[in-house]
Amino acid sequence: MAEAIGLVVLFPLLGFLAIALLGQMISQKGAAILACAAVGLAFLAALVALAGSRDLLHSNVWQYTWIQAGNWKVSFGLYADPLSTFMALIVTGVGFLIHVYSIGYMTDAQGNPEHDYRRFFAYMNLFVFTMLLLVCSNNLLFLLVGWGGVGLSSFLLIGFYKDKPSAVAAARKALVTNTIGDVGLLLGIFVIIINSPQADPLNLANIGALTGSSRDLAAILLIIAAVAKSAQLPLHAWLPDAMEGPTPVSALIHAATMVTAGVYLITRCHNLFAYSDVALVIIPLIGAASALFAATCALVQTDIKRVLAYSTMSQLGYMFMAAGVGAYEAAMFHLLTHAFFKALLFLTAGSVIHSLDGEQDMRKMGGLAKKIPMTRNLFLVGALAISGILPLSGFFSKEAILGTFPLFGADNLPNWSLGNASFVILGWVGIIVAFMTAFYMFRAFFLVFYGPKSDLHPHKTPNVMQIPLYVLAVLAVVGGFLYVPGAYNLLEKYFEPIRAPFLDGQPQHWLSINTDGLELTKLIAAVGVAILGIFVAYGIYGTRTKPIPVRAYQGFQAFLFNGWYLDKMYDLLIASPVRWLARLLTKEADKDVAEALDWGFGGSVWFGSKLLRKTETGYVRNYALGILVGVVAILLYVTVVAIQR
Amino acid sequence: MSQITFTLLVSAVIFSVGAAGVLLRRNPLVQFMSIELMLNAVNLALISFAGSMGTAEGQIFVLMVLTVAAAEAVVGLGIIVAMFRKRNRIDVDDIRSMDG
Amino acid sequence: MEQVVLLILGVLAVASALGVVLMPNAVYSAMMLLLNLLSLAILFLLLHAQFMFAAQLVIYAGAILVLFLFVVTLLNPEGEFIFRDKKRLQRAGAISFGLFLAALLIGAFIAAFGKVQPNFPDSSGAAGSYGSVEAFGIALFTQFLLPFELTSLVLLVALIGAVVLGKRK
Repeated sequence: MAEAIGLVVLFPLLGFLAIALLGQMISQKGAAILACAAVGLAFLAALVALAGSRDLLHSNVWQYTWIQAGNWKVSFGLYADPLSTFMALIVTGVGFLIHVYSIGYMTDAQGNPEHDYRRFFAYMNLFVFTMLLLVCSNNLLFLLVGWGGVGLSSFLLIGFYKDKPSAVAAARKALVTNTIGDVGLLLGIFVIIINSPQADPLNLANIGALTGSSRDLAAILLIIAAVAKSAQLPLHAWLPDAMEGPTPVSALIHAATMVTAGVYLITRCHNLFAYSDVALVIIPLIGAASALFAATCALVQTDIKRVLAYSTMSQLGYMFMAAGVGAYEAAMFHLLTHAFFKALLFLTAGSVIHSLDGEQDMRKMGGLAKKIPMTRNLFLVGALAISGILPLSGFFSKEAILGTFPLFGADNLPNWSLGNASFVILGWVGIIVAFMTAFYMFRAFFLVFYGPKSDLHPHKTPNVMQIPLYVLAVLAVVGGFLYVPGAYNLLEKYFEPIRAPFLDGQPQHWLSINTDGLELTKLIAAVGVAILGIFVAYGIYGTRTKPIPVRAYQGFQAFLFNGWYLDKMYDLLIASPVRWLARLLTKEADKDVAEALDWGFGGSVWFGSKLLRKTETGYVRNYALGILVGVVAILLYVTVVAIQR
Repeated sequence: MSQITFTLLVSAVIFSVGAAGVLLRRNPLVQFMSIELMLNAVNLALISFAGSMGTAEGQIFVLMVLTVAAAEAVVGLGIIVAMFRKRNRIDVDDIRSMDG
Repeated sequence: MEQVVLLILGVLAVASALGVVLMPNAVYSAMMLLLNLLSLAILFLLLHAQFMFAAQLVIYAGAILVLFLFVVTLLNPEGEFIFRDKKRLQRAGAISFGLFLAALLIGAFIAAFGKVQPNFPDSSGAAGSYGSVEAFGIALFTQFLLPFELTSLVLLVALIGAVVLGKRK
């Protein structure tokens, strides 16, 4: 059954090709239905593949040799092991719901398709295809194809409103930043090829074969790739700007799936990362820094989508923290629940924006609870889930991650190079971020739905947008029951086949989620700070009587609002010197160089052709003589060689 | 010197004479005849080789050469006649519109 | 006896080839070509290639040469003396490289085939081997059937080409 993974990848590709090639031959509505059907069928195929993913020996399907050079080769194939199937299910499942939602969202107020439906759905299918290629590939080179592909489709979709200059700029920014990651991955591949003793070095099962400094080098390069794709510090700048794209795109690409590719890469390459001392220090630190940084930025954002974007970055920081120290299960668990509740939050935010005809500034909203109560309820579910309130999914996955980091030190920690003190610090960072998460989510909630009534008049949300929201809300509530602390842990059993190669003789590098029950203190701390955050948000924003004035921030708030001015710093340190150099070159060098090239190349070609032209006499007999001379020369050479032999 | 070596030498000389003829003559008809000389020299060489091997394959090649020679003569002479019709003169040196 | 005939024919073939190139009048050139073809045909016979002997006579001497003569008489080109040609460099190059080519080929052939003996049976030997019509026919219609059929295509194309060229606009 594992072979069905081929269909999972194939359906979205066919959908993309059909919509792109048929063009005007299918109606706008037809393109939408085709795209949804492609992703839906892929989801069904992924379910079939899930049944076959238990057996690791047979989960390596559709094997071919891509490049063969002597003993060295690059194979080419798909994985249907638990990890790939897990990701494929998230991508196709959440992707399907978002596709359906998009049918309703991508219409204007009159219900007509907005801009170009076909182009939108073709890009969406292209994205799902490349993402599936990324998560199902069994070698790094093929993974790189998907890696670049999701970057491309993300670029196309962020810039979907191509008449809007800010959207185009954001798309360009995302592409450039992602390309840094692509280069990192490519260089990592080179390092692996050069240093690996394996015959098939790029096969994901073999990349753990590196040793010594080359392992650390490869790990660092792959971390650059993961950091760029998952919008972690310092390559995070593109994610908030990416909110210029349509909201379903933000939900699918910039919350639920594409940005998780970095976490997937770390988990998939755990046999490389878990043995690299450098990676074991860098990744959790990056994750913690990003989680903290993004949470502080989210505290003061006024655009509802930017709040969600920073919160995505913050939650990804959690996943990096967990995956970085070897708690891959916890990272994947949070990835799953995060996909549910973040997609839910984005789509409800999209509903609000859609019903308000494109208004995104929360300060202008308020008191919407009466007018759109169902949307309020859905947003509340998402906000509670992300805050980690019992018994919603976010609680369990966040506990799984925080359970890795003891708050008061412990002696049964794995012997990482990170050191016990760092573990404790990371645990406290996690608690602080949990508090801020609850605060900014409920700040957004109260700003949008409560407080003084705004003069905006929302209109009804169509059913096609509403139904996916219900499904996601149910998933956001129950998605956490894969693991119940102190009771059972389905994930451990599920990921057993991937873990298996580590079990015999190898040191334990895969930390399972702790099922022995929770430290009571931590439970109280985590849920307590979340509830505290909600109350603080209520105290500040829930009881307000007059609208928040729309004006620019000052001082510290401005510092947080602008993302600690990191954008400005990048501009100052990188973009400005390049711009200055470019201007200098245009002014000083361009003209001279162009002239020199003109006279040098052009002149020599001109004189040369003038000389060569003399040989073209036009007499056929002259040319025939040339042939004879050539024949005699070749014959002479052959004869000389024959004599010498 | 055996029979076959002798005929090979004859074919070599005829081939060279034909090649020189193509280069020396301006009359396309005679150039064509020189080309026929070269083809015939090759035929002779092929048959000599076939003789040294004692098999019939070489002769099959000769038949192919004959066919191509016939086809080439038909088309080539057609071109020459067309050229004559256009200029009332046949001289390959007249056709030099491709000079540099 | 056979050696003498071979020698005479070889000399005749080379001389007539020179005649084709050197004769100023195209009609004489055609006659010299005829002489060359005939001597080559007899050489074929001496090499036990009976079928090729007949084919040479029928196709070359019979068909192609007659076509040549038709065109020569039709166009009636003026006489041409190669030693009055104004392009001395072309002439010198052609003659010197022609001689060089001949020397090279002769040297190569002597080096490569000087000691090779013919493999065909004596003229008195068993019939049906090597050059006979029978052996040739078997090879042509079994092993080389596809190339043989393909030659029909070549001839067809040449036929169409000739018609197109000959059509008056």
